[in-house]
Amino acid sequence: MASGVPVRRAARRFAEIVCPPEVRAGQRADRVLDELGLMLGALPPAARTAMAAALILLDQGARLYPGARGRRFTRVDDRVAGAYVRALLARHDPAAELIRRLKSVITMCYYELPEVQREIGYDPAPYIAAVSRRRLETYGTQP
Amino acid sequence: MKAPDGLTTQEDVPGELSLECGAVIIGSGAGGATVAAELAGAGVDVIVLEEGGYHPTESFTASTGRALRTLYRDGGGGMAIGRPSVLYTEGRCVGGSTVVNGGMSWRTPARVLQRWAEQEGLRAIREPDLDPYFDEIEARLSVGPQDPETVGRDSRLFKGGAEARGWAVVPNRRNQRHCAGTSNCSNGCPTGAKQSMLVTSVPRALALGARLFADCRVDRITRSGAAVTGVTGHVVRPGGRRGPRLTVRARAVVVACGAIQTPSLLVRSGLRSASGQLGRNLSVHPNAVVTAVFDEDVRGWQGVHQAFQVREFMAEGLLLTATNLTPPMLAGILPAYGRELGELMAGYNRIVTAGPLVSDTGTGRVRHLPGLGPQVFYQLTDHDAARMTRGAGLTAEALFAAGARRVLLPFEGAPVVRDPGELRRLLARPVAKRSLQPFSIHLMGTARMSENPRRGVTGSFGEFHGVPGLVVADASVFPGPVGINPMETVIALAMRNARRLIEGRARYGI
Repeated sequence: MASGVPVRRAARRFAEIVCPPEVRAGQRADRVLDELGLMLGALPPAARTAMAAALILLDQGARLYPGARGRRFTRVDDRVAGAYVRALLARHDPAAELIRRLKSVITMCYYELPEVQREIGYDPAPYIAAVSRRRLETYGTQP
Repeated sequence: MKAPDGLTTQEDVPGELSLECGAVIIGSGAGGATVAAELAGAGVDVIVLEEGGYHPTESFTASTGRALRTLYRDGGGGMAIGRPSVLYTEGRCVGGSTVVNGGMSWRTPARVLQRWAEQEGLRAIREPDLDPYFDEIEARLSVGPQDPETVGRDSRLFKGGAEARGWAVVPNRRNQRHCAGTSNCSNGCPTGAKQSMLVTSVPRALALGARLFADCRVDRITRSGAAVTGVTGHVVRPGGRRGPRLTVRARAVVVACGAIQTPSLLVRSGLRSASGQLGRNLSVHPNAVVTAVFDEDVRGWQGVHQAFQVREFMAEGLLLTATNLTPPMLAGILPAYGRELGELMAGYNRIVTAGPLVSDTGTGRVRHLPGLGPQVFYQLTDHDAARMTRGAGLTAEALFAAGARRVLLPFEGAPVVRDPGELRRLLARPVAKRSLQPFSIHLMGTARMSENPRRGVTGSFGEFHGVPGLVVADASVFPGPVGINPMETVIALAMRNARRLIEGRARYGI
């Protein structure tokens, strides 16, 4: 992920909360952040900046959340972090919209990991190869 | 991978590019590629400029992330601002959105054409006028129903549920040649069976002598007096970096960038419409996704999705269909996170996703903001929100009738629904519009056709009112929502606009 350390730290903590608990296994969180970096790279600069700003806002905004007792999102425990994210996602304002989009992108990145896909029984490559072969055998290259 | 003859990518362009041709076409999707093939076939010297890259069939994989980054604009993350906001996607690659759409190919409904003709005074646009175009398109793109053995279990279940409710269901028509049922449409068809522009009109145009430049973004359309003289732009380097300058001198300019980019380009080129409609009148066909969990293994990713459409509620402007989503896409829209998300996704192979497409009555607007590019604003009307809610409810009814055990509705904060009775009780209460989660893949209407320049941006054949030689050939020209998958309408109108341009070629000097 190309953005600075505070953004990466906030993104990692957010991933730990919004992705399934298995995100903490092995190097998965790092790989989610790598995917996120690639996704953000596809966004126009303004949207990229907005996403980075949303992560900073998420991190610093926790100071105002009563349960956090003045601490940043990256510094609170899982229970408080989860409650904070839940409270944010329940709101209906532009900031919450941005957090929802961020949640969307990060969970997409998690389920893009091949081992996660295999764990839920999704392994399309052999299937695609098999039906493509069947098509070729049945209809040839120029049907 | 070597690009075909006539196709140039950024790798082949070391420095400034200055070109000349009869007609320059901006965009290589359903509209642009069609016009390119038509004009090139008539002997016009054609240049096509495509902002996205060239990605051949052999490069397509099942990776959603890779597809979003390479084949879609802005990673597929467009957002129309409103309450609720509407997420939308646009294709950006050689072949445009036809590379990533589901390939649904339907003729424009006769009643829609009649309404457009009557409301806007459009010429030669009624069913008998367009039928010959549709015949030709369907033959060329091999439009037809799916081979039965390739239909996915998710589609069969949804069809069975709808039929159990007594609803009219029709097999979907696709532009495909013996589709293998890879369920990879939105990541690019890995077999080339989908007859997207990438494998049909683009190679045809190239074979007929057109030149296509991928990775080239047009900044402005240039003019001398009222008449167009070409375009200026730049080469797009990897990572979106700005490359060398590009100038194309041409006597005709065809804009086919889609309903978001087309008005933005026209506005930043200094063009104005007396109608005040440029960028307005945006329709989006809002969609929503209902997620159902079954006891049985479904594996919706095996076999083609959207094999059927429920047509029972067309008179209400509602179309229902089952659409398989890859794990990343599903995880991105599910209203769950953390452990709960993990538990839901663990049952991925038992999930069917389906939903309504709403023919919207409200309209939005595309505004070009300097430095930010096009910004989209769309406010879902109360009427459309109510129909979207009804459509989601009907979809859930069909899924329960098919045997679903649990259903998640596309409303934020909605509880999991476990039976039809619970569904009825839930929907008996008002659903807050802001809690809906609409998305769109059909964007239309921002340079609408009308014979009256005070009502429309373009005339009956897509020509920009008052600007000779400037033609729009994409879904921007639709006077309103088409109410069905729009690709075939775009192609038919583009073909018709191209032939009109050819008829008047002496006037334009092309």
